[in-house]
Amino acid sequence: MKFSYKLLGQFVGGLPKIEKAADWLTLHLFETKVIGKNVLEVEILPNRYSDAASYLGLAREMAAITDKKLNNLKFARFKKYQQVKVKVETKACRRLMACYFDGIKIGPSPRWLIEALLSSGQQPINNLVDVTNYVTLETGQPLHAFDFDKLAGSVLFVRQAKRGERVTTLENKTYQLEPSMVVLADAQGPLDIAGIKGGRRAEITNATRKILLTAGNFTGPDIYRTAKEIGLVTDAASRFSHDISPALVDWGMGRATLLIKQLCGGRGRGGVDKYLEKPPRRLLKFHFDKFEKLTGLSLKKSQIIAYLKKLGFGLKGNLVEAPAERTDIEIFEDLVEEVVRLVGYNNLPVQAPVVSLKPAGAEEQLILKDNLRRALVSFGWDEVYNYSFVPSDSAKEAVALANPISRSLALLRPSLLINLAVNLDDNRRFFKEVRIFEIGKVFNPAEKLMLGLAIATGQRGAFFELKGAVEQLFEWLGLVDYSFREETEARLAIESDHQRLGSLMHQAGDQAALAEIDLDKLLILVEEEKSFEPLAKYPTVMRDLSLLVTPAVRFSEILSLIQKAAPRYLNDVDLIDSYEDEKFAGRRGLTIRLVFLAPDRTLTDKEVGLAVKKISTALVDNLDIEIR
Amino acid sequence: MRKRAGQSIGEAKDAETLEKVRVKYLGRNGELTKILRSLASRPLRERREIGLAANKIKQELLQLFDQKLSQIKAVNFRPGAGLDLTLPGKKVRAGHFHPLTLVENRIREIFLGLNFSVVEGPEVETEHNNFEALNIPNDHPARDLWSTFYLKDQQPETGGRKPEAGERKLLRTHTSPMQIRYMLIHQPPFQIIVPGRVFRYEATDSSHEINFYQIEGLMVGQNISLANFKYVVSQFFNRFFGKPVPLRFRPSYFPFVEPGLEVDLRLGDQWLEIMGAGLVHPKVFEAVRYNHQQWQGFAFGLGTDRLAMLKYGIDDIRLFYSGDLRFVRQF
Repeated sequence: MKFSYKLLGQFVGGLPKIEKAADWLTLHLFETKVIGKNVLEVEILPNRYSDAASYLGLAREMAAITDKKLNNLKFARFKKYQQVKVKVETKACRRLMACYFDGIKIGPSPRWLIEALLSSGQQPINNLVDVTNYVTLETGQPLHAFDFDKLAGSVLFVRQAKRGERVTTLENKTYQLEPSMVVLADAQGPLDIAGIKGGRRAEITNATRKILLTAGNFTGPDIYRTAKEIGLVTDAASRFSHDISPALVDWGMGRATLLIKQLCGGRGRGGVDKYLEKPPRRLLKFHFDKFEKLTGLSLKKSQIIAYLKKLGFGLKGNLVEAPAERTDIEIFEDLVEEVVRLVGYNNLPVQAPVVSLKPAGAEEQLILKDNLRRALVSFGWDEVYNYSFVPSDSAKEAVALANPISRSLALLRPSLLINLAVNLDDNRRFFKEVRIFEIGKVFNPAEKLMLGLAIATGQRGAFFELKGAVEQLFEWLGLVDYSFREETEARLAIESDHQRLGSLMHQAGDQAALAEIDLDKLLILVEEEKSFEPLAKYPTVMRDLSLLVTPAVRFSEILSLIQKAAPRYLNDVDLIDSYEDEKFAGRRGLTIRLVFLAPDRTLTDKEVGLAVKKISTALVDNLDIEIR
Repeated sequence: MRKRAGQSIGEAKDAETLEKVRVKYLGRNGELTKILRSLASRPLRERREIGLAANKIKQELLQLFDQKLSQIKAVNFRPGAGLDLTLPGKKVRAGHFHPLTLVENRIREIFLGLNFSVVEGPEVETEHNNFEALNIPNDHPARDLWSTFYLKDQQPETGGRKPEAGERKLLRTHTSPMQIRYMLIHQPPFQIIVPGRVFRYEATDSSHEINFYQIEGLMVGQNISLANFKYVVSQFFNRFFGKPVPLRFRPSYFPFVEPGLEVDLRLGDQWLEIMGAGLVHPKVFEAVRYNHQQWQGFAFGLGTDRLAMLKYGIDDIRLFYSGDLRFVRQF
């Protein structure tokens, strides 16, 4: 909200330079900037609209912060006038005051009033409308004036709208109303949208001579909802949405009555005050010892009391009474804030907490994520972060947003691979080889933590590099008991303990490959435990087997046959070559290296030879394999 | 023989010559090996006498070999001549952590050093945990501080039903709902931080994103005060930036703290908003059934992206979520 610093000076004396004032307000009240010449931009906090979104409120704070006196402001007294009749028929209205004025002369506003409005970013209209707008700035109470001669019947109603009712506003826009909304109405129908915007029908014109001036108070949630629903957030709507105090009505009407007389020649005859819901008095106990316990600040009782008094709080023994307009004050802690912000948070002591040490650590899932990241980065993979959102056509089944930003960000990602595949393409423009991973949540529909991997090498072999990385990753994590299963021609599932941990797949003729692994499941399966095995004392014996196999034979089958047929001392099996040749007639040549090692003796040529023979026989007997 | 062998070892200039010497004396058919092997046919007394002497010599020679071999290796380690040492090094393929990972890790490390534990929570939250339990009422403009993505209600045919009040699902707008989740199942005293991804329904630009990261902090005990909060955050920022940094504490408003404040950091000639904080609101303690007469403490929220941008001089938050390796490989 914008405030003219010059005008503020009329409410409180002896103000410092504007820059200094902005600093003080920032440190003790709200973030404040100097914008333009003599104008302050003050960020009113949402809980302080009731008391501080006005010159009067800001002046009260400035006086307390700078220890200056607030100038007295004059208010006209309210008096009753029988001719004005108001009927409030809704709980959404806590108070409505309506006063009748005659002898009004509409004309231009004086210079100071025009300047006051302009510096707050409001356009001057005529002396009467300007007075109502200005008084809102001054006191925080929205006001609305009706041309009395245009009102039908003798009663002003405050009621819920009826289905099908419409209001055409001062800007000539028509709004369809719902029964959940509140209107001010006369015998003919709704005049305005209560607390939000005035209507055209009883608008003030140059011909206006008599007016009915209203100052109301409406419950915040009702106004907030209505303003959102019809998409009309006015200054008044914003104020009422913040649930301002009904006590402001007195000040608004009191100031307006004086200024209308002064600037529009209007005589206030008085009116009616329907005060249906008076806020209860708030008397709070001040716990002086707790104050120090909460803030770490030691203040004398008298100092605390002095700070509260500066802000207009009443004191009776240990009981503190909040001013009516301070709707934000509900509990003792609110009072603590009042004192401590006047002292200034910068001036609080800095103290190390005294606590019993407890072992601090990170959750297992975090440690797993750390380990994965470290491993993959050490393998030469780069980490990326993507949006949690994917385009609406990128997945058949996915959790949809009720209010997406755009169609391209309409679903929650059911897989990390959708965005990783895009990353591969994007990065291939700049890099020949791309190896990336992401750790993040996916939703399908349950929230799950996943690891996604994507590789593009620009040549064949991407899949097996990816598979090798996954295998090495599992080895480092201590996951031994897992297997791969071919799900489709392009996809390999990773399984462990009867669960599907994830999958690997290749793309674009094996020039790119992707994998996704469920980390919630992996977390349960990994065993950190590693144990030492004595270094080999005896030499290893190696034998190479050259095989010719038909395409239908899977390496995994060969491997499992070898393991079944082999003696205990078969230490390792490696595929060291895989090749194709015209003379093989469609078959593949595979060279497999068998590594034998016994922990307790040197193996003889003879026993290794026998073992290899047994393995060869098993392979030839069970699979379409020829030993070369 | 001992003398000859010793001399040959001493004279050997390279590993190859040394190995020949070893084979000559200690190999399978070496001179010493032959002597030892021939003992089998000798009488027992002679066997013991010569055996002892021969074994002693064997040990001595082995030791000499080892010494000489180390010596030769050390000499050979000197750089050879004729190499253009100014040629570029061979490229090592190194991976890179995402800068947000690096910054989050550093933050965790500092807080772990301050005896804070690290926990995480879900990204899809209920309206209750994200707002109501944190004293942010429905239909109140305070909610506008957090523009929210809501999930579509599950359709009845897929087993969904219309959500009750507060059950509605949304993408958490801050890490603060973890205060609720954590306190519901833990008893004070404790101190934790909660790193995680959060979401805001807003237009993106160089300083706003629809998803970004926060670190929530929560410390609850019998005497945890604002002065303690100032100590913890000052320590944190000083460590994070590696030098004392000017901080400014000023009043603010978050419905789940009272008093509420904001922390600004001095950078160049301006103050930058870096953290929201305050003492945990008694209503939040009530929501998790803590006795607020007994327990008190502070909570704070820190923008990880903002800190990373400050640390590395990154001027556009959107780069973090671009998947662009030209960016990631700089870290």
